[in-house]
Amino acid sequence: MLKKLHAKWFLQKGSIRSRIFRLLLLTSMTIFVIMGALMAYSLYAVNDDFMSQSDQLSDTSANYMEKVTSKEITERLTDVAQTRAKSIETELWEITNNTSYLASGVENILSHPEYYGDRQLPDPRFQPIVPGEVYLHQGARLQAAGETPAIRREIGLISNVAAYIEPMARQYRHYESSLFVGSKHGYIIAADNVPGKDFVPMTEEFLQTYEPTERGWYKNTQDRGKITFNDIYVGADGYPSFTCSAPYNDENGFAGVVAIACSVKSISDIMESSLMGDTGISFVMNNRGNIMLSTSHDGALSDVKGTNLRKSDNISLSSAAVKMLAGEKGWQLVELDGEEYFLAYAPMSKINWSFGTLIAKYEVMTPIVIARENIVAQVNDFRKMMKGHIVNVVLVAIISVWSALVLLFNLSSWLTNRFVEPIKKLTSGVQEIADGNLEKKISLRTGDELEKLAKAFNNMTDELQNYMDHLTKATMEKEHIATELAVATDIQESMLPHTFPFAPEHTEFDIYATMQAAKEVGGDFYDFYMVDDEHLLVTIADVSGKGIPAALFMVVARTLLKNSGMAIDNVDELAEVVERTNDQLCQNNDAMMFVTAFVGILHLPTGQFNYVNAGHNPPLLYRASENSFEYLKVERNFVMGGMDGISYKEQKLTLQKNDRLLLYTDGVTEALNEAKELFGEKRLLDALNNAKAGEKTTQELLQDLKNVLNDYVGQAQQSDDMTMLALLYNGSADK
Amino acid sequence: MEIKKELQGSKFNISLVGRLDAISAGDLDKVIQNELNDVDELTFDFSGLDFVASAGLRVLLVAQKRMNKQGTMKITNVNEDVMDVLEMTGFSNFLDIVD
Repeated sequence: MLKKLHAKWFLQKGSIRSRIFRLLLLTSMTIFVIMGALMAYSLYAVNDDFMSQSDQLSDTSANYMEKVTSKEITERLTDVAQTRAKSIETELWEITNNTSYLASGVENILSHPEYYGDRQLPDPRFQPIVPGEVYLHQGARLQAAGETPAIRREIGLISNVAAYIEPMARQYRHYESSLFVGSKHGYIIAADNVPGKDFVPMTEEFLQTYEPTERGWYKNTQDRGKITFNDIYVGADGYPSFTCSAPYNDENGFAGVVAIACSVKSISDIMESSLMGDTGISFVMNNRGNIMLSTSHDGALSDVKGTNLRKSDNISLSSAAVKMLAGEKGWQLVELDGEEYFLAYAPMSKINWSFGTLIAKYEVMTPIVIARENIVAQVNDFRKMMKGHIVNVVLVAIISVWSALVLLFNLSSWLTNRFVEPIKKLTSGVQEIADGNLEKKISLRTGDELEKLAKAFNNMTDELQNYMDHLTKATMEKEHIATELAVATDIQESMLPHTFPFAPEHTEFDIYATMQAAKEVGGDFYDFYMVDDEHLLVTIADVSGKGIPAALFMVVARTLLKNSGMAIDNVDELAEVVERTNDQLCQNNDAMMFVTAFVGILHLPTGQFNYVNAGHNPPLLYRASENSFEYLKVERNFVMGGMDGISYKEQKLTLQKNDRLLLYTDGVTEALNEAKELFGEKRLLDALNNAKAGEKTTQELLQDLKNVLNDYVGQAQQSDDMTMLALLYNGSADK
Repeated sequence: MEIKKELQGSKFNISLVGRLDAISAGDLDKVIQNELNDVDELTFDFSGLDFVASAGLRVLLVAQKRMNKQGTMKITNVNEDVMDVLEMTGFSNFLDIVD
């Protein structure tokens, strides 16, 4: 499939233009698609990563904040617990010390009555008491029974304790507090601090019915026999009080209780200041697990009912109580009314109590939850924004890619045209050249291979033009030469006697000659002329070589021979004619050309035929009496022109009536057939003997021989001139 | 035609194979014109020569005339056809033909 597509797109035949166009378009589209895919993938990956990371990010950051905040809050809570425990402990410790000090002061007075005088203290029943002022109040029982002298004495003595109480009360003047001594005899010596009041308020009920020995703090202390903190109780002033009390003895044992009552509210102020947030609770637990003080006045941590935390149903609280009782410090999560609370606690080691402070986890965590929600919301916002951006990016990308594709299509088209235009120009230029316009010059300025190609074409047309000019010239020259050669051949042939019948007035003989030249002008010639009225001179000759030199030499040889021959006086001097001609030919014959020749002279009245053969082929003689041809016996004289000063031998014979002579050149015997075989002397003889020469004229005989030769040569090219001359002797004209 | 040349000092052997006609005579003519300067004994071996045309005879004549001036020339192994031509033209009288 892919292969098919490939073949369709690239290998498919088409114009270069469409192929380049497709290639450009496909290449750029491929790049676009790859880039688009990469972009889409990266967008997708970024989005995907972001989606998963954003959840994790909000979780992680919220968890981290939660952790940090938890750590901070618990550290702070623990710190608060420790400092508050310290300050409450200090407060309570001071109260304890003061109480002990007070008790020992009372005992000291009781045991050393000799050191003390009788002291009179004010009675609130009879005069208003200012805060901090030590007063004496008789309880309801004593009021009813009336004081005995012993009691009065004891009161007078013990009233000296005011010296202890007064300065001590000043320490507590900022709190609602009472310092008092309650005797088993039913009176109290006390000082009250009421901040902001000019006088200590005393209700009538208090003044009439108050019985110290009936009070819880008195009874408890008496029961326990040692210094003790009493649970909260509502003091005579109506405030919930927190009382530290200690027993004192006289020589008879238990004699009463000293106590410092401090308004719980005043210590609670310290605790209130320790509270954190809206849900904060602080409490003080004593060494038995009872909640002595609490900022909560109901529920599990209420201080009103004296709740025992160790025995609480709330396991988280009871387990915390165990640790608190063990004197540990630290923090833990507890559950209170279905809410989780951080509880931090610290021991008050001097009195084996413990202080705890709580805050609801949700309150601590609210900012974190809000922060977490903020983060998630922000992340979600960002996510939405990013989604929007991605959508925008994709839209922009689609539009860009589309525009780019349109641009690319046009650009590819433009580029292709730009690239192909020169080729078209080249093609049309070449077409014009091919149509024959060699003047056409292709002008391309592309600066690339095409320009080189165009230049090459221009060079080619230049060279073609040159070549054609040259060829035309050469052809013309050749034709010129050929024409001249043809003219030369014509001239050469016209020089030979060619008017037949020759000398018809001389019935004694009949002569006919033909020369069939090979391609070029040759060196053969024949000649015959009447030397005088009775003598006919015949010549056949062949100049060595061919062409113009041979033709020129032939003209010279013929002319010299004719000049010499015409001057002959005696037929027996024919050899001298030949010798003279030879010498003349040898002069200035630098080219070493020569000519073979057969020269004969016929005496018409007698038929005597004198002849000289200068290196020529032997002629054939037909004897009518024998009705056959045979080769003439000839002397082997040297050719003419080869060497000067040589002599030639002359021969003679006598022709009878109807005898014939056939002269020829070597073009006849050396004619080649298609098998490159020579015609040869044997075939020549046979041809002539078969020609029934006795019945034929010389012209007919030569024609027959020519036919035979033509048949023999066939399609082979004629290689040499073929010259033949036939002479018939008809006998003397007289006979 | 093939012209085989063998030069040994001043002795020059030329063997001709084929037809010594008007065309090949030109090639032989060049050899005769250019390569006989220091030759005093020129020998033609005609054992491979089938035919000699008149142009060929001319070259032999040139060679003979040249060697008449500077040494000797002989022709060996002439076959019958060629001998006929040499005799007919009278060349056999002027050339030193050795059997």
